[in-house]
Amino acid sequence: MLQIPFRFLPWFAGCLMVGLLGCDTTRPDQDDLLVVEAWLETGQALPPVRITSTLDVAAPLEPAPPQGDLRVQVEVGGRIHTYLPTLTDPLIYMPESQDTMRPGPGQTFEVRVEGNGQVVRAAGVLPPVLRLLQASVSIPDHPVPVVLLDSLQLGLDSLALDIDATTGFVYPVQVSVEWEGADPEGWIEARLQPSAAFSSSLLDFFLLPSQVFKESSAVLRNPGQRLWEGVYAVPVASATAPLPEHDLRIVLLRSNDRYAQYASSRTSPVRREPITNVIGGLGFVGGISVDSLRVHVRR
Amino acid sequence: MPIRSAILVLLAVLAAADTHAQTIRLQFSDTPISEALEVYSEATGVDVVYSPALMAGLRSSCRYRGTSPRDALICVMSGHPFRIESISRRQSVLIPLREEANSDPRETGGTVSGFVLDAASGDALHGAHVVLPGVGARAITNEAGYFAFPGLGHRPISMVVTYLGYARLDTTIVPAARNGRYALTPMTYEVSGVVIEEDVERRADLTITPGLISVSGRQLQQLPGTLGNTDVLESLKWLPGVQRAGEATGGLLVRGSGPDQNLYLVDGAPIYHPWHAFSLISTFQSDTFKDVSLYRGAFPAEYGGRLSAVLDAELRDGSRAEPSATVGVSGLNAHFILESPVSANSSFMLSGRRSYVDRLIGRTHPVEDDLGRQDTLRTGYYFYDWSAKFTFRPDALSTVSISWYAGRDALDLRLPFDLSLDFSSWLRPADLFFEIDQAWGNRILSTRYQRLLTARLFLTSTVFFSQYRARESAFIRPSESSAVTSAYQVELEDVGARVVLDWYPSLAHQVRVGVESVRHRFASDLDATVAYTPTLSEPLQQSSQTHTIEASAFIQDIWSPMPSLRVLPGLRASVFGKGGYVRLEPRLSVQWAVDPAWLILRAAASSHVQYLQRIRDRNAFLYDLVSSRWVPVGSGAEPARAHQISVGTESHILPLTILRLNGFVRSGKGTLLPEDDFQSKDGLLGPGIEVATLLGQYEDGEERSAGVESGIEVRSDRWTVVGSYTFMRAENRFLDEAPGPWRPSRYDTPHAFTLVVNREGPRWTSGASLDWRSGYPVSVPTARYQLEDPVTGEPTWYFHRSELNNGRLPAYVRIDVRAAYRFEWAQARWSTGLTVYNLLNHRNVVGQTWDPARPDARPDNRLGLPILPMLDILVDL
Repeated sequence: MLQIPFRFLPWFAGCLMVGLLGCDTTRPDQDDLLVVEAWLETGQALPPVRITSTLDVAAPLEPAPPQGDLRVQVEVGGRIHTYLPTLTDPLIYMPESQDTMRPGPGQTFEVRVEGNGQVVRAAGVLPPVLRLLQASVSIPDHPVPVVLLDSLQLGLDSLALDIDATTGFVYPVQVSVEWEGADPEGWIEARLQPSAAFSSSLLDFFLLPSQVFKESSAVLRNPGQRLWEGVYAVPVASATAPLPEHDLRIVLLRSNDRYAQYASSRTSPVRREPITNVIGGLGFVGGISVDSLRVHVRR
Repeated sequence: MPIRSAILVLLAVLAAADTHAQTIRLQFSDTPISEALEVYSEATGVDVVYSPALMAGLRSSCRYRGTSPRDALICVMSGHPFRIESISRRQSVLIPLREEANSDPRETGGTVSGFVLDAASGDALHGAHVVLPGVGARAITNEAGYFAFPGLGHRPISMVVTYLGYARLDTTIVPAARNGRYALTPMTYEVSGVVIEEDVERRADLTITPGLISVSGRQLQQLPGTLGNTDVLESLKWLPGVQRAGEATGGLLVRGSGPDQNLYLVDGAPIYHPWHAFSLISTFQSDTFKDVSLYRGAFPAEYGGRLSAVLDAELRDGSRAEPSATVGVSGLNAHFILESPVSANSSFMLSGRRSYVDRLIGRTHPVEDDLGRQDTLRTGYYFYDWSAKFTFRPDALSTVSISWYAGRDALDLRLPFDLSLDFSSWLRPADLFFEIDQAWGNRILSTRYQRLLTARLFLTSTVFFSQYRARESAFIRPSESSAVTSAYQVELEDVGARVVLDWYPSLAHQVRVGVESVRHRFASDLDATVAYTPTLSEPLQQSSQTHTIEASAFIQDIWSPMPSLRVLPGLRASVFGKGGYVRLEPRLSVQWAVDPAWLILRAAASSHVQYLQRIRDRNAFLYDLVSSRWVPVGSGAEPARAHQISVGTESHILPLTILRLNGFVRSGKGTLLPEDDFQSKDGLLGPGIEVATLLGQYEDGEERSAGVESGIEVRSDRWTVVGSYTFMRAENRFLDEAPGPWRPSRYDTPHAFTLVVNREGPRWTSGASLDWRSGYPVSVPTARYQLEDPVTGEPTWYFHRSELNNGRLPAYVRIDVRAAYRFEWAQARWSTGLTVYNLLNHRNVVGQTWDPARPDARPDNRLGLPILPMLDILVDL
């Protein structure tokens, strides 16, 4: 018969207690960080710099201005521009003097923020100007049945197979966009933004309402001209419903690979935060070139 | 179909058999063996033929209650070197094993040598411990069960042979009689009436290397498996320092390492993805293996190619005594094992296993709707594996064995998209549907030739083939105007040869040298197209193929400078063709038996190299979903290297009890860490499958871990108690120009406590197991902030994590229980059991997410499996 193990119960109980005490969920504290956002656009006036502070995870959802006075400078092509907070919005900083400077392609820049014992900075290069040439829209005759779903994530470990899919009808609207001024090292973010929020909460895997891609991988239509095609969905109530008239904004944004990583990483807030190029803080300071086109879509 | 046919045939045999089983009761205490045999013959009606002269002076102590005359005879003869040969149902012959000894004219005098075998099956026992107490010499048997003590003179010498799970054998031997065969009696429930005082204190001598766990297949069956299945890898997780990555799924984690840092060997052939059912159960079915050794951390120079652990498993040779069959059905699968002698010098083992859920719910479902539209939906999933081994002994000095394993999983689905609806609504024709065709599996073939060249020289040569293949195909129609098609294949193939020589130059040395060469071939193909509209599609076609040679040589020596001290130095040198890497791996283990009865100390220092890395695309759903993708170094990744120092103590100060305490420190470089930990599969297509592209998603990393493992093991005739507590920390960091901060690794588990209690009675077996460990690390938000879109200005909230893995999931707790009842019916032994997984229905948290747009900061928990009862039934013929 077994008699020995019971002598060891205290030994095991002691180990168990150590185990229990060591398994608490931890949530380390952290000082507030500065969050800096600025988008310097090629050929445009110096932009505002938006500076906020991180909040405690349980704080109300209200952007917080940074504590104390900040010294904000933007250096473009060797010239330093001092920024001051605006009176109307304490989160926004504007150049101290109205400057007619329009930074050109290839110029380097750096945004530097000092205050509260913190120094944060971010730097970049302005891309060549992007010019959108034309766009065309193709609308199917009838809406098509479609599956709408939020995610393809399956919880195999917990046997959670419910992917929360629904079915409905959509007009898949196909859009072609051409632009000029190809940058072999550049990255493009293309977006189709219908005026009405047709399916704002749904992430549709099977259409292409936006894409981030390397510019050199896009179809070369003519020398110096590239083509991108995307599809967005216009949900309707039934298989016979007409296409609702709406405006469509087509946006092309050119930047560098770092911005491409930022753009790709900001789309799933539940899963992750975007990458940052702000040293010592959070946010993103990018050099971009943007062009857009507004189209009224109707059958 | 083949398995079903086999089961039907066996059940028919059962039904036709005699249903009257006689209960045999024997009880002897220090009784002359000739008297005991007479009583045995009267009780069983079986005549026993033997030489009375050989029985002179032998005595028997045995208590047996059961129905098997053979088991009763094993009981009577336990501890004595005789082989039982059943001539007929009513007659058995006792053959003295030492008389089978072969006199080899090439040998010189004064050498004691021989083979240690399982008395019931005739299997060679690898790792058995042979001691000559009068000389102070000891040896461990090799894979063929062989041992040798040279230079002993010609006086009779007492010899003790022990092996885990077997009765100790005490005998006296004359050195002139060499190459004897020494049979140990297994202690299994088949001979549950046998009461043998197990010689626990001898177990400690089985190993020099701290961290080695060596158990027989029979002992593994006493530890809980997965959902009522006997499973080697699941059973090993109850031992200190070993755990599964997932709740009930995932690879084996050893001392804080990753699952891809373990080497799995079946009869010397590597197996790359030893899992079925999405890693729910392993390909290692406990009752098909005679011997399993798990080296945790430090392993001898004969093993290489991985950083963390080696699992070396040997398939059963097949019984040399009599045919037997076992048929079992559990909640997940049905299986059988057949073994039999083929001739006087050959035997085979064949086992098969297959899941049957697809047979229950059907694989295809023809459906029709009100409009007369017809469709065929598919809900097929199954896995199977076959193991076979044929062992042939052309003479007393040689053994040839051929081992084969083939296992496969196949998932075949065609279903409507809206899985969120109830099951009955799936069975209708669907315009919007998805089809998934996935299959993955391993095949290995290993041929081994072992020959005793001289009494001091033993040759083992192995030629092996191992193949892992995975296929992932999908067709998805999410709308009438769009479709996704994808076909993806991964293949890894090894062809290798290994030659090992055991040389016994003196009593103090047991030298092993070997060379090995393996040709690795890697191939992958992807052909995917996402058609957004009939006129807009995005294709992705890529193919990747490469091969390389990995060659290695090693030398190691079990050196016993004094009876209480054994040292195992070793050196392994390896060359990897791709990249031309040459690496040396020194190994050293020391064992000091301060007192074999109560304290044994061990220490080891070792260096390991790994040339293959397992990676996966972290972006795309259409490929690398279930596949194990191994790539060779030299494509942008350097060989990984780990160093480990470990110490251990083992004490048998209490009867029937082993106490163990191990400590280790481990560091590694060249491991691949995900460049972006938060990136998970979130799109249809990713950057592709080219090795350089995939490696771009990883960065060179460094890892370290340290821990203390304690364990207690108590085994009596009825009770088995195995408990362990492990304290361990595992961290890693990026190795850029400036190394990043250390952070807890993905499976860092500071505290892990497991306890298994099992009681085995004549009829009932019952047991419970407790698994209690720290939750895995999780990256907890530490701040919240808002960013605006650069074009629209639309704000979005995000959570910031100051550090990776800065928090933990709640502690994981689970209790499983199991009860089984044995009975005899139709001349067969039956066992039916009920396993209850997660008895308390405690829904463990296995994952957490946080929504930054929600005002509160509470996580959304992903919960683990609920309570699951599973029935199983086993028949021994």
